[in-house]
Amino acid sequence: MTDEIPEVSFRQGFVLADFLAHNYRISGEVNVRSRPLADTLNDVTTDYIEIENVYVSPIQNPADLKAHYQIGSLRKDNISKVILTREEHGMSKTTTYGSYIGYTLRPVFLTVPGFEVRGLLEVAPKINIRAFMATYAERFIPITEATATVTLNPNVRFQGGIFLVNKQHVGVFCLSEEEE
Amino acid sequence: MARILVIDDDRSLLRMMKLMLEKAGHESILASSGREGIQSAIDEQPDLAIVDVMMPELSGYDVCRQLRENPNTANIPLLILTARSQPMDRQMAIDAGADDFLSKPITREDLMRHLSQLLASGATTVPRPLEPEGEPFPIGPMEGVEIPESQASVPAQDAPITDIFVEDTDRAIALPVIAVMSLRGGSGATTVAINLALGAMQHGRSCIVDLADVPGHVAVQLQLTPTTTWLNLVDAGPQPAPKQIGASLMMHASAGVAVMAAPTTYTTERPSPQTLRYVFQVLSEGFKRTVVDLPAKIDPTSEAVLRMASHVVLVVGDDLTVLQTSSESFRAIEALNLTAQLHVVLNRTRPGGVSFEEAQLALGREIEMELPYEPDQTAATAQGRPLVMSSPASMFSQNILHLARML
Repeated sequence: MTDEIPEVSFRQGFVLADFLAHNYRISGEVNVRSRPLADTLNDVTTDYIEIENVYVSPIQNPADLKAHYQIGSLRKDNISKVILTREEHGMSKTTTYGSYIGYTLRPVFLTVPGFEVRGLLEVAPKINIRAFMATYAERFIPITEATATVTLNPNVRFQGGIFLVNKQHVGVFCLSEEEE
Repeated sequence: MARILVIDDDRSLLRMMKLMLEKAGHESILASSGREGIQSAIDEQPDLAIVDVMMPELSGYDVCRQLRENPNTANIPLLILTARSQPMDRQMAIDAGADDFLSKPITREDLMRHLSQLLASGATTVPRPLEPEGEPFPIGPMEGVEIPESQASVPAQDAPITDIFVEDTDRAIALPVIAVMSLRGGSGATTVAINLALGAMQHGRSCIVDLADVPGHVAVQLQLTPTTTWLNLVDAGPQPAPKQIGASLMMHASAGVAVMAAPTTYTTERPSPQTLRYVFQVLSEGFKRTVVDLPAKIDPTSEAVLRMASHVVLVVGDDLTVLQTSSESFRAIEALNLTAQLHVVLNRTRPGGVSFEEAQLALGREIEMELPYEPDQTAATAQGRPLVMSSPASMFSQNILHLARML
């Protein structure tokens, strides 16, 4: 019954993501076993992430499919950010906080090598940026409704429902005072 | 119901798409690789193709390019459905020839909505400009008319339509139009026109305009149900908007040719010569050749088209009596001073008939080409697959292709 097929998506249990390194865009499917990709990326028991149906493009011409491999492995610390179309594919949307904390979405600007990233970050109202960067427990920071432009070629722009940005690659980190 | 080709290397997605399309009343054709998809498109002539981008060996972009380059598949509406959803991916898809772009995941309702829109609009609702070639427009004979040098040398892509449009001077600039007419109905001029338009597609995108007596036979022979005709342009003034002209074209996916059909019911209305010249001018920006099927009579409309055409193909049958009595019509055509553009073609629509020499003698002038009788012609017409497509190796098709090369 097609009524049971609400959407055309990816392989069961997989998500498709764009992994951006300094010079390459790598698109591929990750078996996340129906969990958000952030769980796999932030898993400290392995430094690698396995990707299937891998397509490699140069960052200066990121639509050009230069190479294809059935399977590949990426070092997590070499990934500057991961782009996903939908927020729920990147992180769980069911996370709840104590109601007295009142987390809010704040516009954020940050740089990673070769890119400028803008989007929204969910933070506590009285956030200390230095403390945030130092104490944020996960390797990848989720930025929602995000846009990234290539620093040396602003015409090359990436968009996504969520970016997972490697904290170790962040150079500048700015947070707007205004709530979204 | 439409026949939709789905090209994706993910077999589970193919199965899912098959279910969804069939539930929506469409017929699905599945291909699990780019090469298989291209072959299916050629063999099956679907009404639309959904193409994945990320496929090994041949990417979706390559598939789109190859389908667009092949005259037999050039006008199949293409929808790219991909998980790579960045703005540059969309641009890449459009550049490769896709008509629409969707990113996964997508809801069933959204997908069906886009399919319906694309099926309704066809691959090219608006004539698309050809790649700039730097070549000037084909300039026809211009006896007695001085064309400013600046106009005569304007490259096709740079030529402003309104500047080239010359009111009341039909012969000012010949357009890339091939007019096909006969001296008498039943000579097979429409069949020749359709096959010629398809043959011309080997050298660039072509369209066919049916100005023959209404209701026209072009749509009938291509088994099209005209949803739009040139009648839509009649009330649009002397210079209809290019989009309106595009909307009056139907894409025949199987034959791979754009058709401007004649109305299905009789009407005394005809586009004015000024409108026709403007329409052909706009069409020439998107189509390398426009083949016009004219009625078997010299009326003001056909006279105007004959004057503005760069080539006139006059189709004569092999009936001796008709050939002998055609001299009057010939004189009318010769009075238009079309000698340089005229190509007389003897079309045999039955076995036997007069010999080539006898036909020339009866007609009183040289016949340039003979199109032999083909027993499969009737079946090809009945199936809506003209001989140039269904039997390209036949002598009829070979001669048509030769004629298309010449013109």
